[in-house]
Amino acid sequence: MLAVLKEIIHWRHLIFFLSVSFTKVKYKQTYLRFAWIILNPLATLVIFNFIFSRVASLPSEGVPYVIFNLTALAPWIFFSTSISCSVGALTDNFNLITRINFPRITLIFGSVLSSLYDCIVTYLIFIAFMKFYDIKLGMNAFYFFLIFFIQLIFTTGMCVLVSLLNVYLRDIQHAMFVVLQSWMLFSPVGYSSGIITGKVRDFYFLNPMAGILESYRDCLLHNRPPDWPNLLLAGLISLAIFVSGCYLFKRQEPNLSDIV
Amino acid sequence: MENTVIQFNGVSKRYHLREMIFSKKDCFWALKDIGFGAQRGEIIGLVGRNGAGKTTLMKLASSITAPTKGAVYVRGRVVSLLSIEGATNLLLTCRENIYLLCAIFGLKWSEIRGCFGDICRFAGLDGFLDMPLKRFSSGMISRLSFSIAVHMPSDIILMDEVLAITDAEFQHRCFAKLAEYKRSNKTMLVSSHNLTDLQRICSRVIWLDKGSLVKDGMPEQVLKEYSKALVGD
Repeated sequence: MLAVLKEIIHWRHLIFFLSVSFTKVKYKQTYLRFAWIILNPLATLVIFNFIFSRVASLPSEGVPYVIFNLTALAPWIFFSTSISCSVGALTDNFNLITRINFPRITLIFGSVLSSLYDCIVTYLIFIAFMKFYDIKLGMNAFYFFLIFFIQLIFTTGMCVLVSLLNVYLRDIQHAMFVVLQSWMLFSPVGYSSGIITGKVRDFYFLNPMAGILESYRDCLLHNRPPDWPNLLLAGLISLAIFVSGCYLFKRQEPNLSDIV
Repeated sequence: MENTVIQFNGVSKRYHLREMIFSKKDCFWALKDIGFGAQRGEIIGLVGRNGAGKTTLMKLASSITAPTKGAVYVRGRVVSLLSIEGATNLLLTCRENIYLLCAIFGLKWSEIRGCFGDICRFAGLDGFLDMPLKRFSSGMISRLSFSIAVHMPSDIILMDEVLAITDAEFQHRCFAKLAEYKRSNKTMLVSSHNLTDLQRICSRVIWLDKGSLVKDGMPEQVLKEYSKALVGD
């Protein structure tokens, strides 16, 4: 764990350069360039708005559905693009791994950082919508940074695990699409977790993303502190995933160049 | 032993023949029980037929891969030029590749800006800095990647048949660079099939065959026996 943190600090320049290259490579030879960073979330927002609000008429906790949705959609997009981009962070860069000796974990952190740039742009959309609907943030909005930190730990931990596993079994990258799709439906992205009741609710918050997304809504839309037990559970699971990911990665790192 | 910078003790390396690595069967030994030491300032040539284990030995020396048995000790900063042109990203431009590869070799932002001009001058690719690499010829990519690698700070340099496809003028400049390394007392491992070049620059030659060390000694002697064996086959 500590070894990994030391490596990140020492190789911060490389992580930065990798993240910039990943972002550039993603939008090379496109006409719309970085406009895709805005277009994708907007399109998803329109689809969600249509299906969940118009067709299914789900309740949205007393705020306009678009805002209600975007509060969870923005962090969800960060999570899902991070995972789907870094699942191939090691395998797609095998040409570097087999030729140069450098800490391989920088590839994953670079990939997450590159998704973070996209995420910042998504939050600009969020701010624009908040202004448009004239929703004011309260003091509890500062909890956002704590929740985002927890999400970052969880996301990075998952990315490390997923990309490491993908080196051994490329099945992971093929399964990722359907896994992320169903994971989204099991998380309160398009609906409020309030509609989940009974036995299912006991297990519902074992998914860290559920606790995290609900906490965003509490602090940004309703100006109240997050639901601590759920957020704490999410935080603990996130930490466990991150630590075990780093541990496994460090153990496997010397073998990566032979298997990738 | 102050001056020993690379030390191989009974090193063996096993590779899997199959795609999936879960079965313990279907393995082959790329290196078998290799032992040698390299002193600071030595230029060691590696000869052997394709698949003899030259590249594996270099990968172990640069810690890209770990030995299956035995131990490898390396002291100092290693820069390996193992088919380095393959490490470039074809989608990025020449300039972006220089920045990225320098960072992968461990340079900081300020250091990269310091050596950027030198790299461009050495590569001689002035008009093409903002062209994506996919439009480069393989010779130009070789020039670029070789230029980056020789400008990295290093104590030990590993070269694996790097000069094969560049033109005579560039090769001449590279040999000048090698002579500069020799003067600054850097250690080099050079593998090549060009025996005349090896004879010219090496102070010692190691001959590998099917993963085993056949001979380790003065260039004239080892190269003579090696070329005799090649003809004999």
